[in-house]
Amino acid sequence: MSTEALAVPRPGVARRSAFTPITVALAWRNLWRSRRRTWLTAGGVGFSIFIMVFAWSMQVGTFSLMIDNATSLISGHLQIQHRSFADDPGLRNTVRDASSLLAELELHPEIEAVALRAQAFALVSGDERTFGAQVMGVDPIRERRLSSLPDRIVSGRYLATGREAIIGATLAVNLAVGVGDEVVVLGSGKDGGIAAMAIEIVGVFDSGIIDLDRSLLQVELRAFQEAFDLTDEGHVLALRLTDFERTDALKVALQQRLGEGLSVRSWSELMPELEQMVGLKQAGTEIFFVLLALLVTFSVFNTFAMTVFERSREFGMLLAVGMRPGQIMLQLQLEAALMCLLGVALGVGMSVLVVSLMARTGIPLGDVGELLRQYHMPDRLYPSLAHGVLVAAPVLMFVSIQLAAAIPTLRVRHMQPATELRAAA
Amino acid sequence: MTLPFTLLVQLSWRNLWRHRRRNGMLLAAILVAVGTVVFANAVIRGYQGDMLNDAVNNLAGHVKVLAPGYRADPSIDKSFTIAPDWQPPLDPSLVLGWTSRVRVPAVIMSERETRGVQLVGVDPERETLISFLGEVDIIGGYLEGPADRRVLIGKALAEQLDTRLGRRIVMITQGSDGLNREAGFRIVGLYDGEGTGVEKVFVFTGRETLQALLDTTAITEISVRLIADEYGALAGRQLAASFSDLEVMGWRELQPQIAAMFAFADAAIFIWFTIMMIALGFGLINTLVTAVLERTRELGMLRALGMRPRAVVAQVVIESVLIIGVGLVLGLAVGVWLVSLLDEGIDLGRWAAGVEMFGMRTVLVPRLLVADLVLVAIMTMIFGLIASFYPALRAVRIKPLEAMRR
Repeated sequence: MSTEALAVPRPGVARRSAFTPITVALAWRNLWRSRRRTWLTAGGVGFSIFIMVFAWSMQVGTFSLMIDNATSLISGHLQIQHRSFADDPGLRNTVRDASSLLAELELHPEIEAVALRAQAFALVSGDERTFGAQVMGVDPIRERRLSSLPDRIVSGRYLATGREAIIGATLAVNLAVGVGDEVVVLGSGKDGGIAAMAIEIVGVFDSGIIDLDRSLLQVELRAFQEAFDLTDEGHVLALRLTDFERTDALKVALQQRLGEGLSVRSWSELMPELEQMVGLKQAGTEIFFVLLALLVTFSVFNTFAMTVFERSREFGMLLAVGMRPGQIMLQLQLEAALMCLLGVALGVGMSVLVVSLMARTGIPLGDVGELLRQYHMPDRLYPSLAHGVLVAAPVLMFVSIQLAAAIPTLRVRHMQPATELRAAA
Repeated sequence: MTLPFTLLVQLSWRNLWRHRRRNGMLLAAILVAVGTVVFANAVIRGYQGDMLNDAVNNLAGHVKVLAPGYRADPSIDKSFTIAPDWQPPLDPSLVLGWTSRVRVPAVIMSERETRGVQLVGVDPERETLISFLGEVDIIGGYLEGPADRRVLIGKALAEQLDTRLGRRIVMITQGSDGLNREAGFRIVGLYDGEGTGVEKVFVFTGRETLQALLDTTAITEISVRLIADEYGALAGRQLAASFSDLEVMGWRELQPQIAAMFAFADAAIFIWFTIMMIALGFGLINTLVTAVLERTRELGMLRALGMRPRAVVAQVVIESVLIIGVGLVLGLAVGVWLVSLLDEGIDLGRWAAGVEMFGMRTVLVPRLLVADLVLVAIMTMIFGLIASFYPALRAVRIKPLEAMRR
């Protein structure tokens, strides 16, 4: 009990704040008393932050490209359709007075491009063969501004005007037709009559999307409307926005403006698999982050357990001269924080360097590229530095490190100056 | 002084117990690393299993025989004939089942709608053994034999066509003479492919019925399903030897996208393992070096007493291997336990459409392979050896005199 009497703090020491320049300098110097340990611990922290930032940046880069590729191929960011078209994509569910609506939408400052399309399922025959196909009437000039399909022509050219068609590569093989051949489209018109047109193929496209290549035929919109008994109407108004982030806001605004009869659908509703795929991968990555942080936390815990153990004598001395346990603990937490900052500097520095280097050159995917096209991916990956994770990963690390350091540090509270001084002697 | 190996092991083991808390924490880190590697591995294997199953089930089989040119131009022109009593020239114990089919593109029409599909003429009994038709739920009835004149269509297709069980649909396809044939079929059943794409693609009828419609006795494919994927290459060679003028292909060639994803998943397992081990490595090396430096005096004394440097190295290495070994065993146990907790599968229903795009099912059942566990164990031990290199180096650098003077 006599040791307790010795440890009565002097008022002057007790009043001193924990975070003076001196305490910070002291903590920093303490770190370098065991250089190797500090580097190894900070290295672990840095490595984890690097992996997290890199993995996330790769995903963000990939996802934004995937979404961009997918929406720019055909669908656009938003589509305006007849209310029932989503459940029943029949010929009769059209958007009426389409040209005036189109003209109005084109004036909207946030809409970059608009295209009207009409579509129906019909029989398409070559010389000898017949297949079922999705026939889509499009406006070639507007389509060029909205869709990347015109860039995917592998032979011939995209539609100009008149009675021309472009056809998916697989469908062309199945029908045994090519550029310059004539196909006959046979379906039923809106009034129930027979819709027929003989039309020349001017181009073959290869989008990489199996469904499209297998079943899509595009023709000029007016020819389609004529053949299928449509007036000034179509099934889909596809919109490309100037800012993709504004999709949901604009969807709500347009829906209000257009009323009940029409429905505005966003790309995530049109292609739910795309958004869910992103969600699934992100959920997986988050679990991975937590596990990685947990591993690093254990090793930081160990580092501080060793530190406290080795410096027992020093702490005993400090307690004996009147420092409070709380002050020593704060000192140790400060050391943990500085160690973490060192790791963060390493990790962030390395990831910014690597990611920005790779963002410029891209990572070639080689053989896998062909596979990835089906998922709207490019054949080179460009990671895009994710600013969110540049903050989140260090914060996650910081919190876990402070917690990990706090547990062994708590031992200081139970230290008796005399015992510690005697034990270590 | 040469110490017997058992004594060295004993010494290392006791050394570990000198710092229970610290080594306990290290053990926990190894446990987390190994446990999650095992678990992630099982999840990925489960995913690969689903992929393989779907790839093989999807009328591909493990190995398939096709006429040359059928893949580029899938029509009845590209067909071949086999003897009625033909049997695959393979070891019967390796074959789970086989069938011949006629598969042609066709147009299906209800009173309201028209769609493009693949019309497949099958032997219904054989088909249940080798393709998804044996696994799916069917509303209504199944086809009754190769001469059945009705059709089995997917649920989603029935919705698209606005038709239902018992109704008639019309199919148009091209006969062997190049002219179009049109025939009416009654819908005998609707199969439920769990919302997968196949529902909209395949329409099944009796093989003989379709051959009669097309005016042919030929078939377009033979599909063989084996008891395991490993025998694919062997079966492929044996079939190729007996069909020199036909194409014999494995599912990897027929579905290169799935094969690539399969390989991708293999790589993912490896990347996961490497990252976890490196993250673990920092902590492991740190602890081992500290353990060595704390004992500078002690090791110096042992050296002065005549302990060989080799024995000092051995002690550090054994210490690393011991702790890794114990962590490994616990980690494997935890990993296996986690997997066994989830033998009902992980419900990914929230992401159903995205999951399908990856070739997964909505319920993912992790799968443990003994070979993988062995591989994880070996790789982890090798990693433990590598991690002990630097601490061991530090230990031999200790000079007896200097150390004892401290």
